[in-house]
Amino acid sequence: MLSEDILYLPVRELGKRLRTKQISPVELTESYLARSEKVGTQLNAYATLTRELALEQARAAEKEIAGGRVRGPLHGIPYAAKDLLAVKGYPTTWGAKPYAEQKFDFNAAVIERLDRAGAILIGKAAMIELAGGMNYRFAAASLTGPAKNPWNPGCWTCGSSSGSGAIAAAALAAFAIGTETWGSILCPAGYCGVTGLRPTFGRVSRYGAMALAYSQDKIGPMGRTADDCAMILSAIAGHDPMDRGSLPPAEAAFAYPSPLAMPLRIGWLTNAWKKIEPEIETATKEAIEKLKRRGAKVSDAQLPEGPYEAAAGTIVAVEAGAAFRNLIESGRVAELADPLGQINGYVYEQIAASDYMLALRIRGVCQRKIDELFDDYDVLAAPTLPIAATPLETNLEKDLNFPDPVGGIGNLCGLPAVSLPCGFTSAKLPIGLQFMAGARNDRAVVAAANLFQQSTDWHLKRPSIS
Amino acid sequence: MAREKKLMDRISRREFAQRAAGAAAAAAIAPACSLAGPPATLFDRAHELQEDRPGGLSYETEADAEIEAKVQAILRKYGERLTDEQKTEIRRLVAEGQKPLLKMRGFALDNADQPANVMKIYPDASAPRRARRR
Repeated sequence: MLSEDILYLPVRELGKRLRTKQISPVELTESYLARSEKVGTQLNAYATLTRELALEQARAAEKEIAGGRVRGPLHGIPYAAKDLLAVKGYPTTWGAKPYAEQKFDFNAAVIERLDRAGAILIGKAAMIELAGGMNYRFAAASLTGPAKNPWNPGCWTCGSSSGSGAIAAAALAAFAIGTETWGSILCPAGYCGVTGLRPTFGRVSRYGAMALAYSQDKIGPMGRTADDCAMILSAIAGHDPMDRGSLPPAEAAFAYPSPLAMPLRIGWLTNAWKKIEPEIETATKEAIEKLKRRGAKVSDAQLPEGPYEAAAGTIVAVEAGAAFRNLIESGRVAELADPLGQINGYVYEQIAASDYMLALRIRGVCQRKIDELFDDYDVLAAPTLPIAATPLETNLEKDLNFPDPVGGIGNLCGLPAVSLPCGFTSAKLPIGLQFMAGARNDRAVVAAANLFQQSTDWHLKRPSIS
Repeated sequence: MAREKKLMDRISRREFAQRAAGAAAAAAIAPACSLAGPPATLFDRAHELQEDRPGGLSYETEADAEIEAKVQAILRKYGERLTDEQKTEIRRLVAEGQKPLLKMRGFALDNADQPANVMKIYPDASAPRRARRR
C-alpha cells in the first residue's frame, strides 16, 4: 500500500508520478480503496464503494499509460462522486431512505466526462438527504448517518456534500465531486479545510444528477488545491444539450491555465457576516494581507442591498417542492431521517406562483447589481463561514442561525466561488476563505486561490486520522 | 425600509428555505370561486376558515390571515398523516416563511424587470460589453 504522504499529494503531482510510472493506477486505487474502507467507514464518508468498477478502470488506465496513451492530467486518478450522480449499475440513493434501492442504467454527464478523462471512480460520497432539499435540523439527516469531520470526528463536515468534504480532507480519494444549490460545496470545504470550487451556473452539465432547484443547482470539484480543482473543472465543464441550464458551448468550456490581467483586484466584503468569531476574522484578514504582499490590490467592498436571500430561498423552496412533488404527495417524505425534512415539503407547496415570479424578477435585478460591483473588482473575498465546524449534535435550526448574504446572492445569480483553507482555530478546526467572481469568471477565483496557495501551506495540512 | 432590512438580517442561511413559504393557500379554492362568481379574497376566505376553527384566533393583519389560510390548506390536504406536533411545527414554519415574502413584496420592480428562469447568466456574452474600469 502507498504511504499517506503519497495519498495526500495534489492531483497534479499524482498525475506526474503516474505518467512517469513511479506509481501505478492500480496501486493508487487499491491504496485509496483500503483507506476508504477503514477511515471512510469511521467518518460515514461513503454511501457506496465502487470497488469492482474502480479496479477495472484502474487496470485499463495502467495498460493505456504503459502503452504511452495518456488521456490527460486526470488519467489514473481515483475520485469519489456525491451520491446524487447516477452511476450505471450502482445504487444512487440521493442520501435518502425512499431512494435507498434506486439504480440508474446510465451515467451522469459528469461521470462520463471523468471516465473519458481516465479518472477512476472509487465510490459514491455520502450526502445530506436530498441535498438538504426538504431542509434539515441535524447532521444526521442522511441515509448513512452524520458525516464526521476528519479534523475532529465529534464535529460535522457541513452539508450537503458532507461525504465529499470528508473524503477530500482525509485523503480517501484524490478529489471528490460535490454539488451546491446554496452552500453545499463551500461550507463543507470550509469546515473540512479543503479547496472547493463552485463553478458558474451552467458550466457543468447536471444531466443524471438529482435535481433540487433547477435554476440554482451546480456541480463542482473538491480537492487539495485550487490548481487541482481548476484542472478537474476543465475536464467536467462543457455544454450539454441534455441540461436546459447548460451554457452555450463557447461559454461552458473552461480552459486552464488561463491568464488573468494583474494585479488581481480584490474587494474585501465588509458586510458578509453580521457576527464572526474573532479567530476567524483574524485569520482571514491575515490571509488578505498576505495577498496584498503578493501584489493584489485590495480595498473594502459592500454587497448591494436587496432581498436576495429571500429570493434565493423562495426559488429553492418552490423548485424543490416541484422536484420532489411525488415524494411529498405520496407521503413517503415521512421516511426522511430529519424531522424538519419530513414536513417542510408541505410548506413549500403553499408558495404562490406570484411570489415565485417575484423572486425570479428580483434575481434579474440582483444579477445586474452584483455585476456592476465586478467593474471594480476581479473577486470579492470574505470568510467562508463566520464559525468553525460545529458538534455533530448541533441543532442547525436553533444554534446555527446566521444570515448568509454572500451565499445568497452568489447562488441566486449563479456566480463562481472558491473556498480554501487559511488557518485554524485554537480548537484545531479549519478556517475557510472564499472568493467570488462575476458570472463566467471562474478563472478569477482560481487565480486568487492560486496566488494564496502558492505562498502558504494551509492546504497541505493534514488531520491526524488513520 | 429600515424595518425590512432588520427583518432581512434575521433570516438565517438555514432558515431561508423553511421561511420561504408563500402566499398560495387560495390556490385550491380559487377555481371554485371563479365559477361561482367574483373570487373571494384570501382575507375573506381566511375569515371563513377562522369561523371553522374551535376557539379561533383573531387576525390582526392580512399577513396573519394568509398564514392561517396556508396552514389550513396544508391541514386540509395532508392533515390526516400529520401528528399534532407536526401540525404545530407546520404552523411555525408557515409563519416564519411569511417574513421573506413580505421582504420580497416590498422590493421595487419595474414592469420591464423580467423573470430570470431558467436562469440566464448575466451579462449575456453576445451583448455589447460595457468597458470595465481597471
